Amino acid sequence: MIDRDREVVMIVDDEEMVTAALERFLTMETPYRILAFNVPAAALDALDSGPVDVIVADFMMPGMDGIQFLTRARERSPETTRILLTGYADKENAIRAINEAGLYYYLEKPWDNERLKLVLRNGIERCTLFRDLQAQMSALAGAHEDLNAIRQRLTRVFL
Amino acid sequence: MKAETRERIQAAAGPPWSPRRALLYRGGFLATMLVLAYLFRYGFGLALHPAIFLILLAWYLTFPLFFLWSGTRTDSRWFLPLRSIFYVYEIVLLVAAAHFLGGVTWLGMLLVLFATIEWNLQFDGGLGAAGSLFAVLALGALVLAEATGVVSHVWLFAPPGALHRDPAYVVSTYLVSAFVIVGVSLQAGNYAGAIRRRRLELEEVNRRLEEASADLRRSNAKLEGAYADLRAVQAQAVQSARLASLGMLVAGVAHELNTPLGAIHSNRDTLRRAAARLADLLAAGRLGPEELRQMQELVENVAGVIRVDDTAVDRIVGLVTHLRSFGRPDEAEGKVVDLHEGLESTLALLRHVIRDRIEIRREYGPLPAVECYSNQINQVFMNLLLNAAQAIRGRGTITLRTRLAGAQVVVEIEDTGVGIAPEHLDRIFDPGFTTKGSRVGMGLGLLISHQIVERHGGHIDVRSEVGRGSVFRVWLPLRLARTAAAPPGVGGSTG
Repeated sequence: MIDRDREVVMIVDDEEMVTAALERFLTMETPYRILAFNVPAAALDALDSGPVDVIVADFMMPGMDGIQFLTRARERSPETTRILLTGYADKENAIRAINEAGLYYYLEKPWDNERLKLVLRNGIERCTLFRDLQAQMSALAGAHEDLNAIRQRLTRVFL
Repeated sequence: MKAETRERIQAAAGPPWSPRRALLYRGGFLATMLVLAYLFRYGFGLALHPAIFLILLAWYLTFPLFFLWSGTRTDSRWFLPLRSIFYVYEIVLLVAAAHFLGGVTWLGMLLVLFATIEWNLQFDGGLGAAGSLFAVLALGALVLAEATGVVSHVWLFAPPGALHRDPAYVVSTYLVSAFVIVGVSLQAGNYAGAIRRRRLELEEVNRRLEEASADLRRSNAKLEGAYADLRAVQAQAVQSARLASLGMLVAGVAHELNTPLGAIHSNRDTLRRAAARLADLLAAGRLGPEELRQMQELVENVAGVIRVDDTAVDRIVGLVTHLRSFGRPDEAEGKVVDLHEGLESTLALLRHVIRDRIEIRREYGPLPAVECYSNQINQVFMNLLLNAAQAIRGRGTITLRTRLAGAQVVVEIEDTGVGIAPEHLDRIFDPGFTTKGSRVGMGLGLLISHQIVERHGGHIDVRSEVGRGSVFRVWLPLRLARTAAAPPGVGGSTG
């Protein structure tokens, strides 16, 4: 089901025109697979069904605001890069977003497409690096365990 | 001397009658004496001793003059001793006059009565009695001196006869005179004292009254000043409240515009890129199936983008239409409008406040078009809806009800907010009254709403229960009163 060759970008905004505009632009200009949601709760559920590289979330949304949403997304998928796209920019919320949701980037509406592309690419790279690092770490842990097993076997053989 | 005692004495020191009257009184007596002397001299052929004239002249000149002078020195510490000395002097002088007017006979004796009465009028009580006693003793001394021959008799008004050589007659006449002098003067003193005390009390009461009224005048002046200040501040505040509400409106609208504008902004870029790609594909000249597929995809994309733009533009047009119903400042004439449209416009502009936090229930009744200054009525709706939204902490419901009630329409805005405490309910239309804290509003929203509705010939009432919510009802007449010449000049929501 999951196309591992394409990076996945999730867009969450209660305004359909925003998700639609982003989706149109990104499908045309980037190779990413775009998952667009207008309801944050549905987006959270979708996080469980497959890896997502970057999330772009609106701030003002019904049900939960962007920061709450990203905070929950972080619990479910810590490696995913989180970006806030908001028309309601104030310092207080920016600080909250960074501290609570571990925000990677803070974009303001109206946004610049070129800049968005750049931020997404960097975000995906960050996520990929994060995953690679985790893979390597687990590989290292596996190797370590293997080594331990071998050592134990050797010890048993010689003693 | 304690200040208070001196004050009392000085208050008492005022002569019981005016110096002018004392002067006239004594002058009248002197004139009578002269007339009598003339009658006796020429009518009866009796001689009048010239000494009596000298004594009476001295009395008339010195005593009233002193009285007049001392009347202007009542605040001096020497006033009382000086006046006492002069009373003694007067008594001595009058006793001497009594000697020349017939000694122990009635007329001479009673002359002293003037002095003792006046003395008692000045000082009632012990001091007055002492004065009377002194006069009586002085008269007694005169009688004794005449009886023993130390001073000679002056037979004037009583013809010399056996009676005057009878000690019993002399003594009894003296005793009756003394009794009359003491009795009358003391009684006069009592009355004067009572009157004086009453006058002092009255003066005290008067003084207090004057103090109170002065206080009253002062506080009245202060109040008037404060009221003028308040009016000025209120006028200023209403002006800034209008600006503040304008700012709030602008902020809300800017926020609402941001979303469609963001989409259009992005779509314009997408379209430009799509056009560039299509141009590239066409310029390459060779159109294989792959190129055609790409072109088809691009065209589909463009159509999608345009659909998004349509939605966005519709949203912007809608917002601007709503905004226009607020924007016409100070319409010269009322317009016939649908109040439901006004409510919907207001709700559209408050979308960022309401969001999904508050459920809006519409229970609109059939409502005829209402003549009003629609922009101002929309401001009233804005104020009331904003208050309702701000009263709701967390989630809640705002219910809008409209109905026709005779020649009036009723717009009811009910919230499930925190409610208004009963003790605040009377004050919510007062300027500056707010429970929202200084950062939220200026406490003028309801005042302005109240003024607007009142100038339309309607009124606002309110029901509220703490913890349950509030209901604001706006009553508006269907037609504007023709007398309301100028359009109401206030506006704006302040929250």
